[in-house]
Amino acid sequence: MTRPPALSVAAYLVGVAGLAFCITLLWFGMRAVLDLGGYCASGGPYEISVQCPDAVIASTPLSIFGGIAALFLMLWGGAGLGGSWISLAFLAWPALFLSLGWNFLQYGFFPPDGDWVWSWIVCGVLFVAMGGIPLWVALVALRDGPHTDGRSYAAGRVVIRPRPPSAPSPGLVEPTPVPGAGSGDPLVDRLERLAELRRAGDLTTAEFETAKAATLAELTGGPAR
Amino acid sequence: MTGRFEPAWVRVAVVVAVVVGIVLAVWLFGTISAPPG
Repeated sequence: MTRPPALSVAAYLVGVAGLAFCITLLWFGMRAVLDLGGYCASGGPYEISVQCPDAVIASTPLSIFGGIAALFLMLWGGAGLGGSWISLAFLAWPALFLSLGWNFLQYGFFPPDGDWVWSWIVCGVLFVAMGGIPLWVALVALRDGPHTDGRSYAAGRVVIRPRPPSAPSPGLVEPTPVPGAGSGDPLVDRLERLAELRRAGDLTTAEFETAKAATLAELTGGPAR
Repeated sequence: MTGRFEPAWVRVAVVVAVVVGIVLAVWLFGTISAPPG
């Protein structure tokens, strides 16, 4: 087992923790905005109807840019570790969209006041699909592993295996073996072929005898009889 | 997991890192969103 550089391990773990930190922070910030009705603003020259809370102002940029930085740190550390550690970064995508989709659905079906908010429900469904479908595909690929025929994707790696011998397709018919074909002796093969042609009427007896003599002369080197 | 480096302690450390990140975020957001005083 190769001992990895300590720096790669440290960067990988800090990246993992940073991603979890930033996604969670974004999740809380989104909920704070949804509590206000789904929108808020701060700063600028215009009169603001809904002021963003200080926590949202502070946490949103930190969670977005910090999350991107943490992702790159995790990728860099994972590349140093080798193996499939780097592929774990893929989980950041479903973690982000499923968690934010949950917020949309929860606040869409149970808003702070009033009836369902269909726009949030639609966003929630889209977010859950964006996070859930890739996760489902990845889990199916990991579960199937190398048992699928020919090719599979295991932990981000393509595994190509030889196909097992399969039964012939019902549409294909085994060719009828030609008598004498493949006997290994070219002289016998050619003479049997000539005899078949004569039996089929494609060659007259005279033509057969001529071809037979020529074949014997060619393949045996002897005089034609 | 496959690869040349896969000791169990790194897997445990990954889980611990995720938990630490979430706990830190909960703490930080709770702190900055709490009313002053």
